[in-house]
Formats: sequence, structure tokens, C-alpha cells
Amino acid sequence: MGHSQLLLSVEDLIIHYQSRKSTLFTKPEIVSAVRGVTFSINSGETLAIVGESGCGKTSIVMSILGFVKPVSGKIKYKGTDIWDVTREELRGIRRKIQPVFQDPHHSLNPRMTVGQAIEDGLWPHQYEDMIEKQNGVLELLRAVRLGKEHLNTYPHQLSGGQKQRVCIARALAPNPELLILDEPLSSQDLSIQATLVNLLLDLKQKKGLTYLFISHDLRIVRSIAQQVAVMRDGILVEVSDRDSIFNNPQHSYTESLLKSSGLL
Amino acid sequence: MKYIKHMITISMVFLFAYGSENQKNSLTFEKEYSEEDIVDGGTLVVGIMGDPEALNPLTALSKYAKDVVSLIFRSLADINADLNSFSPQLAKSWLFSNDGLSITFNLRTDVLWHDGERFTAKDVIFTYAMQTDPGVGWDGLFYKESIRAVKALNDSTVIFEFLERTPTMLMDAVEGYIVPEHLLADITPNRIAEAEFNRSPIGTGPFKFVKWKTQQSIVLEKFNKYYIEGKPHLDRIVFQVVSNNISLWQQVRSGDVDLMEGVPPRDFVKLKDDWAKRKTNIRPITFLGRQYDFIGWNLIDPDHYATVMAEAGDEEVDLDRLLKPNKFFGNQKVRAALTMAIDRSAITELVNQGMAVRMDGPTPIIWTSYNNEANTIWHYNPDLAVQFLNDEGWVDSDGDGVLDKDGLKFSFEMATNIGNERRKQALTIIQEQLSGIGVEMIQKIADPGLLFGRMLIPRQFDAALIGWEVGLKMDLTPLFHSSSLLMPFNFTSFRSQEFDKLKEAAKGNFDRTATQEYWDNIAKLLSFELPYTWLYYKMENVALHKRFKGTVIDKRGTYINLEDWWVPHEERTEVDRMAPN
Amino acid sequence: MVGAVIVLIIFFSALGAPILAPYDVNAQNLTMSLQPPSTSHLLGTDVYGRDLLSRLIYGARVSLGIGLSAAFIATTVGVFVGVFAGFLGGWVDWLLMRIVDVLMGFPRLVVMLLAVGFGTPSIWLTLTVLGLLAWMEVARIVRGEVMVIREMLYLKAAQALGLKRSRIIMGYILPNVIGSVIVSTTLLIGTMILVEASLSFLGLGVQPPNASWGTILNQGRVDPVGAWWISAFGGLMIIITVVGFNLLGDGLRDLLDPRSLT
Repeated sequence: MGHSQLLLSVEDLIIHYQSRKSTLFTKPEIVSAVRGVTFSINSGETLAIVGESGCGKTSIVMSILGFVKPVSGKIKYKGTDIWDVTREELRGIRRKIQPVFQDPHHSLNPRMTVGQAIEDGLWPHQYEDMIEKQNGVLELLRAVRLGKEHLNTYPHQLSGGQKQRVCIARALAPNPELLILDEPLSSQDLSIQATLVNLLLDLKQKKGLTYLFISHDLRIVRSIAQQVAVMRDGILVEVSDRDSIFNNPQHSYTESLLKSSGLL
Repeated sequence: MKYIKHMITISMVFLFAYGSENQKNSLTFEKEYSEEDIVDGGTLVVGIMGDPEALNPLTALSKYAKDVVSLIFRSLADINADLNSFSPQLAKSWLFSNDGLSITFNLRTDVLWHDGERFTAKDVIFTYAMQTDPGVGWDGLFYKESIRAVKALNDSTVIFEFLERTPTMLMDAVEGYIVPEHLLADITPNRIAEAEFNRSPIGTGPFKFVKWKTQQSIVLEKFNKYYIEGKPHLDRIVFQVVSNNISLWQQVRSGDVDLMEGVPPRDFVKLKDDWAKRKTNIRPITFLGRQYDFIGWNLIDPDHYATVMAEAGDEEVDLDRLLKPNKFFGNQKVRAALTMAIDRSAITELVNQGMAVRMDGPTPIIWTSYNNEANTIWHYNPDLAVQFLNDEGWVDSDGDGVLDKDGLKFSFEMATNIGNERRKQALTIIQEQLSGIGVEMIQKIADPGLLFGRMLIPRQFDAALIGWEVGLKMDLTPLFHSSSLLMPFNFTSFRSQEFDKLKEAAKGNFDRTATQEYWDNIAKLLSFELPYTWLYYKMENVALHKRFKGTVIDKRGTYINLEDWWVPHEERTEVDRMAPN
Repeated sequence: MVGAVIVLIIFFSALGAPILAPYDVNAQNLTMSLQPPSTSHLLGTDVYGRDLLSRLIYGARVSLGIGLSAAFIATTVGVFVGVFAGFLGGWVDWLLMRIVDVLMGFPRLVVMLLAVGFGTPSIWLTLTVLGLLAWMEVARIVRGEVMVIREMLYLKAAQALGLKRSRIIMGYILPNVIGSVIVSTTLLIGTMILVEASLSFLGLGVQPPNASWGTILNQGRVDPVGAWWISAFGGLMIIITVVGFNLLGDGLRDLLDPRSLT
């Protein structure tokens, strides 16, 4: 945790969406989702991006994951621009950045068992034989506090919390360095939220992970993040360390967010 | 030219074979009226299944065109029901010369064309010139082949001079309708197909042309200056074009159409039943028609024929080299076996609903020369058929159920034209019966154009189940004479010196007994040799509204005495009162 | 599982035709032409006096064979094209969908006539052409499904894992379109049986004297009122089979859905 090496940096990112496809007679309608965002995460840190839904958080996530190409700006992973590499290189970088999405119900292939889903995340050459591979899967299951009995179950047989654990286990499979947690708790009950927060903190410590944590829930952010970026309408209005944000908000929007959460 | 003529006739055969048909011995109906009861007026609506291509006797080809033309035009004389003697039409009388090589016709002087011009000998001379002009392509040309010249002595006398004496001289001379010289003389013969006359004909017949709506209807009206006073009785004839025989039959039953030829056998059987029970106003009329179906066996090897023909190119081909016997059907005993394997009586009955007569030999049943006694009759006898085939070396040596000989399986294709349910059914029965004696037959249903153009004419077929339309001139030369060998009609490539000799001997023979002997010998020879396996001769099924009286419908046609038809006042319908439009 | 029962009964009667059929399938008895159903001929006879029941049993072989094979060909091609178009998107999608549009505009019968006109009419040619002319609908359905799946989070997760395209297609896309593929395939089987019927009428399908339900149905046109039993039973067999396959398709789809495995 101590050595602060720059892992991910986002520089002046601009992302547009076409809200309507262009046809012969109409021009495409362009909506700016992200309008110039700059931030960086050091290795071992947790950066939380907070903001109301629709502010552009998810666009940033999709762009970092390589699904949405930005109009301009750079996304650098360990100094390499992920939008300026070959397909093969991208595959390598992608495995180091794993997502956990808000909705675990749609994050798992309904026609794959838990075991198969996790197995897909392991490198094909990572394990010598099937048994070793199986052990690898079991190890990951145990890491998210699930057991062998879940190996052959299908997603629809699991509870929401269990599904999210499977998603986390799958995300851990390729030995990532950065986890992008896109509101991973917001679809869960409060009790489960608490256990998942503990799990995430625990994993981070054990595996030396870096988190980009996207959320609108400031209470959770306070318990998990070191750095906090407040986002509104596609721009970051305030980026600071956790204590500054929660104790001494500089921006009026940050203030209002805290007020509405009952934290100020 | 000759080739083209045959082509035209062949395409006609198929027009006939598709849909409607014709005639039997004169049947007159309704006896309760006398001459004094006859009144003028009334309209006849005829349903036809195709639009005529032209209403010019010189260019009309389809049955429908010829039917309409027969009401607008007249010829010199008209054949009687005995198919031997003639009744006067435009000629009052005729006389053979002493040497028997010419006929002199005395023409009527009271005949007017529908445009008011007078009919004269000039028209007869002109008509003959047009009929025999290669540019015109008249389809009855072969009637005129033995005529040397036609000359006019004056306005009302013409002489036909012949190259040789034949029994059909009179028929040859009077065949064909007379066309008006004053309207057609300016037309170049090879442009006759484009003549305006074809769509607005002027004739000398009982009905004159009024109008023609393409693909809809043709209207004819009574010609008031017809040369027979008081005729015709009907005011109007309407030919209504209906696309198929199912909807046509519906229109007959609903009363929209008065006359239909070619009623489907099944419907006709029901109609007869209804008529007997007096449940319908539609009169069923049936008679031996002009059409028969048969199997033609390819007597020569098709591959060899194609090879030799291709090698020869434009050069003359030696017939002996060209005609190599077919590996299956080149043998008379094999043909006899196949004929005996087929239950022709059952097929006749089943596929025609009883509206046909089994046929055993080459002579059409309506010809006066028909004599079934003369035919060799191969009765249904599968056991004997098998024995015949075994005798010829066809045995099932490999136990696959199909006969073979020298490694060759007895398996062949039998073709027929698409769209004829009757022939398709016959084919299916024949297929099963042949398989019963170990012969594999594969059905080949082909488009008519393909069947004739690509298979029969170039001799590229095994066997074909087709039908002929019977002409009234008794002559089998085009079908079986060696002079017709490379012609389309002798498609089985039948060659028999005996047939040729008989034909030669019969030429110029006017003795009826001797002529019959000739025909009997022909029948005996061909029914034994079996270039065809004859199946059935069809009855024609006509439906006619019962209000029409004085009708004569027989093998010569449905329209032969339309000028005599009349409708009693008390039976008239809306159609008869219909205003001319 | 009514569908499975129906399909199995038809399937086994087709297999056991030589044992089950009371008469020789092609044996004609011209004196017994068009006999109505009776104790000796349970479903009556056709024009040629052939036993209709025997012909329907034997006809099942041809009709099922053609239906299944043509539907299989169509489904295979359709899934292949649909997955490619839907997954790859872009110009590949555009091109494939334009091809589909063009082919769908083709009148099936004309293409059949042409194909059979150039080749020799045979069951195999009929079958291949039938199959190749029917895949477009499947392709469209599959493409639509794939485009939905492509936006699913589990697919994003799989892509983030750096999986190869082949693995994504085989493991994530195909298993999730299989349900709708099965439904459209079973519908296709019915359609193919009916199309074969119309082809047989033109002399392009099954060659006589072989029986197929289509040819039997057409024979009924000789006298639809007087000999009602030919079209009636022929049509009934087709309807029962089509319904059977559709029910089976629904059943299979449910069966293959992991949600039903609990």
C-alpha cells in the first residue's frame, strides 16, 4: 500500500453518445456523456467516483473496459494508452482490469454453471490439468466465501448476494490488478451490503488490489475509499482525499450530496 | 416449310389436348317441334378457354379460332356425317371430268360478302393461291398437294385439276374456307399474320363479325343477307373467354354460359344423372370425338441417332446408318409384351370415367374405314407378357425385381405433357402394371414445348404417352410411312416396307371393298407391329342449355349447323333479350 | 410432452411402415378405385384403388424425411449467418442482411422450378434447394437475438476476461439463442412438409409411385367432395405432425432452459 505507483490515469476524457442513429434524412443526435474528465489511481488505492445516476460514471467505466471509444482524451494503464494498442495487447491489458457490475442477475450467463463461469476467467495455460484447474476454481469460490456445493449450480439457483460473489470470484480469476466496481452493492439488501463491503476490503488487503469504486451511496464510499471524485453532468466537480471531502467539502454540489445522505 | 407445317399442327394438337374437345353420329334432339314452330331471335353464349389468335381462315390455328371462323366463313362444300359425301355450300354442284383428273364446280351467284361485295370465281382462285403460298403457311396445305391448278372458266365456274386420281380428290378440293379477294389481294403473303383483316374478318357465312375484346369476348351477329333465305335464326353468338374449365363449368351451371365443350368427365357423369332426373336445364351431349391417347415407343436408339445426326451436319444422312434398333423397343415381341402387361380396358374406364372407348389399332374410330375385327388384339395377360420377355432374353438374373439382359436393366422413362390429369393417371397405372412384370418405368412429366421440341422431334426419348387430334382425311402416311421418317409426326421412326407397299397399292383405288381391304390390312399390320400401344379413344362431353332447338352436334363439330339453331319464345331467358352492345 | 408423444408415434410408424401398413403401398386395385373408408380399407382408397392408410404410413417416411432434413439445412445456415451478422455487426451485418432481403424477395417456387429444370428432379435436389431457400427467416431471428445478447452484461464480462470470439460464440451466444432456434426449426419442419406438397403437385417433388403426404393431398383434388377422405386424411396427417412438432419445440425450449432444471 505504501508505494504509490501510478496504475491508471484518465486524461481529459470526452465521450459522446449517439442517441439516434443517422438515417438518410436526419443527422445523428449527439449527447455528451463525459465532458473532459481527468483523474488517476495509484496502485493499491481505492478511488470512488460518486454522483447521481446519469452523470456519466458508467460511460467512464465502459470506456476504461474498452467498450466505448472516447471522442478525445487518453486512458492509460501503466502508461499504455488502451485505445492505441493491438487487439492482442488489449486482451492482455483487459485481463488486468476486471469489472463487477451493479446487476448480478444479468452479469452471469444463464446457461453456465458457477464453476464454468469462473473457469472461463482462468488462463487456459495457467493450470496444468483439469484437477488443478478445478482446485483453482474452488480456491476462488472460497475466497468469496462460497463452497464446493455451488460449483455446479446455475445462476438462477443463487441469491442476489451469492451471484455478486460469483461475479467477484470470476473477476478475480485472471489475477487482475484493478477491479472496477460499478455500484456493486446497490442492488443488495443492507445486511448483504455490509458483508460484501467487508469481503471487498478483505480481498483488497490479501491480494493487493486497486479499486475504482463507482457509487452514489456516500456511506459506503466513506467506508471503502481513500480518494473521492464527485461527478456531475459529465465533469468532476471535486476530487480530493476522503477526509477532505466528507469533513470539508469545497463544492456546493458535494455539500448538497452529503446533506441529502444525512452525512452533514 | 413442310417442317413448319407439322410444327404448327403439333402445337395445335396440344392446344386440343389441354382443354376442350369436339363431336358423334348425328344426334338431333327435341322432336316435338315442327318447321312452322321455328322463330327467329335469341343469343347463344359459348364459353371458350382461350382467346383466338386470329379470325382469318388462312392463319387460324387454335381450335377456338377455327370454331369462330367456321361461323363467319363458308367453303365450296361441306362434309356430311358419313365423312364421305359432301353437301353444297358456295358451290351449287360439281362434276368429275371423264378422265377423273379434274372437278368442275358451279358456284352460287347469289352470295354476298358481309361488306356487300359479290362473291365470284375470283375469290376461289385467290383463296387457292393464298392457301398454297409458302409465305402464308396455311396449316391445311397437305390437302392441296395433289392439285395441279385451279382455273376460272367464268365468274361462276372453276376447275380443279389434279396430278393423279385419289379417293380424296373432292375433300382436297373443297377443304378450307373461301376468303375475299377484294380485301386481301393487296397483302403480301408473308405479312398475312399482321393483316388487320385477322381482327375484323369479312366472310360469306351466316354470322358476321361485330367486335372482339381481347381475352374477354367475341361477338357475332346474324348476317341478314345470308344466301340461304330465312337463316340463321339466332340473332347473336357471344364467345366468352374463361380461363379454366372449372370456372367455365361453374358459369354453365349458373346459366351465364349456354355451351361448353370439354366438360370434365366426373362433372359430366353427374350432369347426365341430373338430366335424366330432370333436375337441370343443361343438356349433356356426348359422342365419339376426335382425340385418342396412346403410348409411342421409340423404335430407334436415341443416342446413336443423335451422334449420327451431329456428325452429318447439313449433309444427307443414310437412313440405314441412322436408324439403329432401340435396345428395348426395337423388338416387336417386347412391344407386344409391354402391351399385354397393360390393362387397357381398366385404364380406359378409370381415367375417363367411362367416357372413352378402348382402342386396339391405328384407325380412328370415327373414320369409315374403322374395323376393329381387323386389329390384332393384345388382351391383358401379364403372364404371357413375362413369357414373351423371357423368350427374348429378358430375365431377372440379379434378383433385384427388375428384368435385365446382358447387364442392361429394363428401366426406361415414359413422358407425358404437364397439366393433363387423365394422362398422369394413366401413366401411374401403367407404371404399376409394368413393375408387375419386372419392368421399371419412370414417369417423366414435361412441359409440352419441351416434350415435342427436345424429346420427340429429335427422337431423344424412350416412350411417350400422348394424344393425337384426328383429321377427317383418312390418311396414316404422316404417322407411319417411311417418307415421313425424319418428320415430326413419325416420331417413333416406324419403317415398314409392307406399309409402304399397301399404301402404294391403295393409291387411286376407288372401289370401296378394295379400299376397306387396304385399311384392314393396315390395321392388321400396325396392330401387330405395335409402333404404338393404343389406349383409348375419347368421348367428347358437351353441355348445352336445353332451350336451343334444331341442333346437330357430332364428330364433325359442335357448330356445324348453328344456322339452324333456334329458341322458342316461351323458353327465352335474360340472355336472349340482352341488348346488343 | 404431448408433442413428443405425437412426433414419436409418427416417427415410429414411419420406421415400422412395412409392418404396420395393412396393404402393399403401391399395389393398385383398379376395381376398388375411390372406395370410402370401410373395415377392409380403414381410411378408404385412392383413384388407383391403393389403400390410403398404407400410403399415409409410408408417406410419413418421405414427408418426415424431407421436413426434418430441409429444416436442418435451413437452421444450420440460418444460425451461422445470424450469429455472424449479429455478433460482428458493421458491414458484415449490413451485407448479410441485404442478401437475406434479396433472397426473401425471391419467389420460392420459381427458384425451385429453375433449380429442378437445370438438374434432374430428385428428392435430394428438392431437399437441398428447399433448405437453402428457407434459412433467411432463421437468420433474421437469430441475428435479432444475438444483438440483444451482445449488450448483456455477462457478455461484457466475458469480453473483459479476454475470451476469444470463438469461445464467446460457442459458450455465451449459441446456448442463449438455442431456444428460439428450436421453435423456428419446428415451425420450419411443418412449412417444409407443406412446400413439398406443392412441389409434388408440379412433378418436382417425390417421384411417383412413391407416396408423400403432399402427393396424397393433391390426389384428393380429383374429386374433393366425392372422395373427401383423401384430402381430409392427408391434410389431417400434416396438421397433426405440424402441431406435434410445434408442441415438441415448445417443450424442448422449456426443457433446455436451465431455469427449469431445479
